[in-house]
Amino acid sequence: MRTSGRTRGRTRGRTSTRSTPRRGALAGLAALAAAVLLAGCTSDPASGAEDAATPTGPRADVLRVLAGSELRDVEPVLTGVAERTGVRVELTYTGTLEGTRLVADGGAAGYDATWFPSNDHLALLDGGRAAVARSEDVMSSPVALGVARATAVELGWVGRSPTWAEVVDAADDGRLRYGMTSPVSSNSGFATLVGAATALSGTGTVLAEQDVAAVAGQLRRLARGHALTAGSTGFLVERFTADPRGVNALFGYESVLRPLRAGGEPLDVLTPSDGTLTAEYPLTLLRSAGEEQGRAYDAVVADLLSEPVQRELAATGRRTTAGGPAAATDVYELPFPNRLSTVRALLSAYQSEIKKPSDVVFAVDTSGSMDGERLTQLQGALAALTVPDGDAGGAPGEGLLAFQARENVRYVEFADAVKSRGTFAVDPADRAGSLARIREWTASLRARGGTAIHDSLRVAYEEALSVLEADPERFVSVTLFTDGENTDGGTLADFRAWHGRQAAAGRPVASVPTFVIVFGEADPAEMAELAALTGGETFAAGGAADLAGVFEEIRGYQ
Amino acid sequence: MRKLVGAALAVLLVAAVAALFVLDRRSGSADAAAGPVTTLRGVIGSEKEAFFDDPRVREALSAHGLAVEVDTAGSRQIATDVDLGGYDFAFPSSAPAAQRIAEGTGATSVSSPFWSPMVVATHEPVVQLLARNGAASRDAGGVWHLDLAAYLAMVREGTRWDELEGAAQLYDSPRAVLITSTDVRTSNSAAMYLADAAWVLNGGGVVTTREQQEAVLPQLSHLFLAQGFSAASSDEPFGDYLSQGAGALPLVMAYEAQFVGEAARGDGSRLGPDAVLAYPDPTVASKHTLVALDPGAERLAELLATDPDLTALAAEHGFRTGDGSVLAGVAAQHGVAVQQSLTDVADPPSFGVLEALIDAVAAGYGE
Repeated sequence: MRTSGRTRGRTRGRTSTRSTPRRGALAGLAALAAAVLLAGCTSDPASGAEDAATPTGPRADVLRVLAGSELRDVEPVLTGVAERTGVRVELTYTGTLEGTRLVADGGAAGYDATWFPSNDHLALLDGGRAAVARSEDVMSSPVALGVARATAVELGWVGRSPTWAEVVDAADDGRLRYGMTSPVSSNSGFATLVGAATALSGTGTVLAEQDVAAVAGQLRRLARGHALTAGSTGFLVERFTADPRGVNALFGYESVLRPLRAGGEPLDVLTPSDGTLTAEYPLTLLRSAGEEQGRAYDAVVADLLSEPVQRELAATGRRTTAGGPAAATDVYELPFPNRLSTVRALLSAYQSEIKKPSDVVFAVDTSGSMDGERLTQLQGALAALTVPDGDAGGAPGEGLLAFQARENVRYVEFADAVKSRGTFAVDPADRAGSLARIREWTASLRARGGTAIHDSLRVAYEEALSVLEADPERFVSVTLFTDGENTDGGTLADFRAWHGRQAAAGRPVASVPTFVIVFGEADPAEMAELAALTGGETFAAGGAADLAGVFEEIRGYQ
Repeated sequence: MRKLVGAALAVLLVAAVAALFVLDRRSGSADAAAGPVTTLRGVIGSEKEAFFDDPRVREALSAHGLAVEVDTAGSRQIATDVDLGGYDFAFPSSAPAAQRIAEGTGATSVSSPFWSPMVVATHEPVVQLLARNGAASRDAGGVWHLDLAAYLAMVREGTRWDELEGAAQLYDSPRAVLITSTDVRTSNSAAMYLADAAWVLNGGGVVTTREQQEAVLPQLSHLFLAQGFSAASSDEPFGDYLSQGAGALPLVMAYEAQFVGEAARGDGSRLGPDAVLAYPDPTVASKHTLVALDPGAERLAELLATDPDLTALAAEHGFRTGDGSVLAGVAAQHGVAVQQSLTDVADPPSFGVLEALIDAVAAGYGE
C-alpha cells in the first residue's frame, strides 16, 4: 500500500513516510507543464515505474485504479459494486495532475484504470491518448464558487449566479475574499483559472493563446481577492474549515463545496452564469490492462451507471443521470483549450504576473549532521527552484515552479543559532539575474554546528510577520527544512508560547503557515505538531530526487 | 424501477457475454451447424463495438460457425496506423477509409453491410430556439431538421446562443453556436461532418479543386478549432451528451445509429426526456465498410448483409441495412422519429481531398 507522501499538519501525530510524490509539485507541471514545458520531455522512467508499482498483480476480480484524491467519499459505493459484480475496485490516490503525467509517461503499468476528474489534460500530453483503451463518464461536478451566506446576501447573489465579470468586480473591491488552490499544482485551481480566462475573454469559444494577454488585467483584478492558497483541495478545505476568518468564499468542485459551512450556515454554491468547467470523472481503462481486467472494467462501469448506483453517487453531491444537486441545465460548459501552447501561456502569465506575489521564508538547517551528501542534496533541491523557464535541466516543468517575478525569497540559515540571512527580490526586469544570485547564495551554504529549530523559526517568523504587517495582501509562508532533532535553544513548548503571545498581541501569526520538510533524523511527531500549530503541513523526504520533489511540491502551497 | 431493471440487465449482459465467450470456446462446435467454430479477429470503429459484444449477435454468428473478436480504433487510424497483420478483417465506418485499406492490403473483398447518416443529437429547448431563428424545422412526419447553411451562417457571424431571439426563455448560453464533434484528426464522424460542411460551403457540390479547398478551409477550420478540446472517438461526445445536460453540449454530431441504438436499449436508455434527433440538411451517410482480409471474413460480410437475424439485430443497434425500413420500425417502437428515406444527402469528397482538408485543419492545432 502506498501511503500519502504528506502528513497533514492537522492530522496530528501521523507519521507516514513519504513514498509517492517524487515530483510532487510537478503535479502542476506534471500534466500541464509536462506537456507544456517539455512537450514530450521525459521524467525519469525508472522512478515513474516505481511510483506506479503496487503490490497486487493483475487479477480478474480486482480493478486497480489510480484515482483523484477527492474520490475518497465514493469508497462506500464501491463496496456495493464489489458485492454485485465480484470485482473489487482498488483505488490508489494521487494528485490528478501528477497521476495524469504518470499515465502519459507510461509509468502507470501497475494499474488497470484511472479515475480522475477529467481526461482533457491527458489528451493534450504526448502519449496521453494512446494510453487510453476506453472511458466512460460516471458522474460530474462543475467548478463552482462557494460563498458564505452573509457575503452572498451583500453581493446580491442569493439564488442568482453572478457572471465572471461580477466575480472579478467583487474580488477587486475587496468584498469577495476567496480561497483557491494553485493552478500549477491542483486540478480545481487549474480549472477555475481556465474557466475564468475563457469566460472573461468574451469570445464565446475556446481560449486561444492571444487571448491570455487580453484577459490578464481582469485576472489580476480577480487575484486581488485571492486570500487563501493551497497546493491541494484537501488542504484548502482543511484550512478554511479550521479558520475561515478573512475568507468568505472558495473556488472548488461543487461536490467539495456542498458540505462546507461558514458562520454555521452552508455555503451558497454558485456556478458563474457565463460558464464553467466540469469534472466528468471518466472511469478510464488503460491500454496496458489485460483482457480480464477489461471485462472487470466493463462490469464495474455497467454497475456504476445503473440507476440505483447513480442515485448513491448523487448522494455524494455529484451530478448523475439519477439526479444530483441541481438540474444540469443551469451550468454552461466552457471549452477546454486544445493547444498546449495556450495552457502554457496561461499558467506562465498566472505565475509571473497575475497571482498575488508571495514572500517565501526558508528556514534551512545546515547543522553539522548535514555535512557531505545531505548538503549536496539540499543545495541541489534549492537550486532547482532557480531554473527559469525554457532551460530546465532536470525534472519537467521546473520553469513554472521556479521563483517568480515579484516574489521575495528569504533565507534564514541556522544551526545552533542563525548563521546567515539572505533576502532576494525577484526582479521582473531581470528574473534570470535574480535567480542566478539566489543560486549563488545557496551554493555558499556550509554545514556545521548544532540544531536550534525553534529559536531559528522565531527569527524566520519575525521576518515573515514584518512583511505581512507592511503589506497584508502578500502570501507569506515559512518553509522549515531540518534533518535532526532540536538540540539547542528553546523547545517546541517555548515556540508555542511565543506564537500564542504574538496572536494575543494581534500580530498575524495565524496567516503564516509553516511547511515542514522532515529529513534525516528529524522528529516526525514534533514536526507534525509544529505544522498543526501554524496551520501548515509536514512533508517527509527520503532521498535526493525526493527532496527536490518536496521543495517543488511546497511551491504549490506558497 | 424501469431503469433498475435496465441496470440489472446490464449486469446480466456483461455476465452473459463472459459466459458466452467461454461457451464459444468450449461448445461452439456443438452449436454450429457447419462444423467447428472459426474465430475471426477484426479491428472496427468504436461505434460498432456494442453490436459485436451483444450476446444475441454472438449467438447468431455462432449458429453459422463464427466467433468474432474485435479491437476498436478510429477509422482513419485503421486506414493509416493500425498494423493489420493479426486481423481477419477491418471494419471502419467510412467507405473512403476502407478503400484505402483495400488498396494497401490487396484485400479480397470490400462491402458495406451497414450504413448510418450523420445526425445532430440535441435538446428540445435548443432545437426550438434554432427553429425560432430559422435554422431548424420539423417536417410533417415529426422529424427535426437542422438547416446546415443557416447554421454555418450563424457560426460565421460568431452568433452566441443568448443573442438569438427567444434565448431567455429557451437556452440562454453565452457560448457561440457550435456543434460538438470528435477530433477531426482521429475520428471518422468528425471527418463526415467536415465533408458535409465542405459540401455546403462549396455551394452544394463536392469539393475537388485546390481553389475550392482553399476557399472552404478557413471556415472548416473554425468549426473544429473553436470547439477547444475534442474527444478522439465518437462514443465520447455522445456519452457526454447522454450524461450531461443541454448546458454542456447543446449540439453533438453523432451517427444516427448511436442515437437510435441508445433508444433501443429500451429500459436501459439514457436518453433524457428532452433529447432530440435532428438531421442536418443535407446530411452525409457513413458507410460502414468491411474489408475482408481473408476468405473467412468474406463469409462474415455476407452474413451481416443477408442473415435476417443479424440484420434485425443491426437495426436494434441503430444501423441501416438496405433501405432503412427495418431501422425505421425499430426507431418507431422506441419513440424516435427517423427519416426513412433520405433525400438531401451530400457526397463526401475523395479520400485524397478529404485527407488534404483534414491535414489542413489539423495544422491549425499547431502541434
